[in-house]
Amino acid sequence: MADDLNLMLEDVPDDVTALVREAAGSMPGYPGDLRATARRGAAKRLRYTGGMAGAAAVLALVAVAVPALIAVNRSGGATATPAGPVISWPQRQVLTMLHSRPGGSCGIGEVLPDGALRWIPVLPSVRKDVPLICLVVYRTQPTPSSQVWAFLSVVPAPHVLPDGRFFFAMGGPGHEQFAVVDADGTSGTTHTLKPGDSVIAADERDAFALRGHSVVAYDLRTGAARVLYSFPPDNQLRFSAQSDADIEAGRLAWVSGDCSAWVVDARTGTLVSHLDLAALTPNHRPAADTGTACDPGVLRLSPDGRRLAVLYTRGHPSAAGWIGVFDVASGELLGNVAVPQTSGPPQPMIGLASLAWFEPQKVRVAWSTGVASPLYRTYMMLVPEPAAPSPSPTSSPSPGGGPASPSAGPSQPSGQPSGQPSRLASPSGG
Amino acid sequence: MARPAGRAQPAKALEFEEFYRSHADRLYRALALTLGDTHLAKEATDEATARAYARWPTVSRLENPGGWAYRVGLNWATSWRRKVRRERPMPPSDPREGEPATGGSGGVEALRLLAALPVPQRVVIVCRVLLDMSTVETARLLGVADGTVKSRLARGLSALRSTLTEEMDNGR
Repeated sequence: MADDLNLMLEDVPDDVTALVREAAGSMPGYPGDLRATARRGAAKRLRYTGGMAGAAAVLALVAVAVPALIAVNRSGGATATPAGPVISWPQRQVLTMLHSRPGGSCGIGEVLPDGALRWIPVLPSVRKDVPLICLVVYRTQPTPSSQVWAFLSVVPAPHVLPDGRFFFAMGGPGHEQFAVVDADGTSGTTHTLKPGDSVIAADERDAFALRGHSVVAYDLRTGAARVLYSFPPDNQLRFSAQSDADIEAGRLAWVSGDCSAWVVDARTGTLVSHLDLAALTPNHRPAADTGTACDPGVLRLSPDGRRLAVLYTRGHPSAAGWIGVFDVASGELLGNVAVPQTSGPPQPMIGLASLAWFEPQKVRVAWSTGVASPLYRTYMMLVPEPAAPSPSPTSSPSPGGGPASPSAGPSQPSGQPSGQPSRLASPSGG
Repeated sequence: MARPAGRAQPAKALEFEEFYRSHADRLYRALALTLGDTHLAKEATDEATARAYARWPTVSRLENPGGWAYRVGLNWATSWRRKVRRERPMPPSDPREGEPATGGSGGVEALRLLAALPVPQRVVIVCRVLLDMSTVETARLLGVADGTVKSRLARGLSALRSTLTEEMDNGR
């Protein structure tokens, strides 16, 4: 009786506790590993979000198809629906590669999904008339000689265009060029920008450059320039000379001198989002709005244009760099992780690095070390999903299966900004 | 215009890694004791941790993510056994299935004693002893009344103690 009362009061006798712990301890440890779990979990998340997206797609299809069928029946004709953008994972990842040894080659390296490197020696294919040197320089720095061209690899970082060609900037005294090189690196064309223009990114049709407060499109084939849109002079949409830019899903993103990132519709200039990058380094907000104090130097939009990954280094000497990831629609900082410092002397990570979205929840940074061995390094970041609304007593995920919560999935349809985007740009000369 | 929130979310990926490193092994042992099958426990742990990863933003906010993962693993294993039984009638399960590869005879004996208990009693004992949960937390996790947990615990502990006493009396 006394024993029963004791047990009802939740006490577990010591000998039973010891027995259970002995039984548990007698087994070999858990043989699973974190990487396999992450892979399996990422696949599940894709299925959950894919399932929700599929259901939404079916509903949307019904909503669109029924009125369309009615319209076709009424008019007796057929309607054509334009195809949406194809979103593919992982993004291709290229970065500037160079050897520090004398006579060493330089070019673009593509880090393949399995981590292997594909070397693309593009420089001989674009400049045969003058000597080339392989430099990593910021746009604000002068090139050393009027007879030598530099490979401007920092601004912007090399891109892979949607058709597989490579795009990068080159520079000489008083001039700036952009080059488009075939996928195999054997042939390419260059076009010279007008003085004062700064190329920042490219899509399959145009290279985008900044001219004062205007965004100018240079036709990749002909090199002809046209102004797409202009921003009001007082809205500080300035481009940081040491920062990167990117285009994905029709969205153009870049870092401005006030340490913020702007995301606009690339073709119209309609503002999608304005992200405060100083939140990444709250103790190192630039004192003066000089355009050079903002640290984030490499950025990459996800293939659907909904998230923005930023690589920066300032204020964190213990890490090789840091990666911050923002939700473009809400401006929420989803994750901020350190890239571990490797042994040996610090490497100039910014300027020789690139980011790529590997999966919807993974961002990989790769950076050239500038020496023969190791030639480059990579690091993978797991990106958390956007935070769900505050939990309620009934919002716990079901242990038996099914999505944890509807709010845990994507908050916006692919490629759509939240709310009504405001239009800050006034088209001129487009 | 969408303005930034201006606040840093914790690094969820690192949080999950920390959760995994601190919970996965204990979760596996708890499931192995409950299920009496280390192979099935391994699969159940894999499944539970993968689901936790997939829903980590929500799971991480739960009061007891480890308990949630245990329940997920248990439910998954139960469903799997039901499915297998439906499709291919199995012989009665051998409580020593998936015996430990290491450990002395004491551990094997302890496993045998625990395996002799009905599963519901094993579950509450594992929750109390290995997962350090109170009866209230256990009841909430399993979706049963506090009294049910207490009575299962009492019966299970009583059975274990009587077996232990018997074996001590028999000099085993």
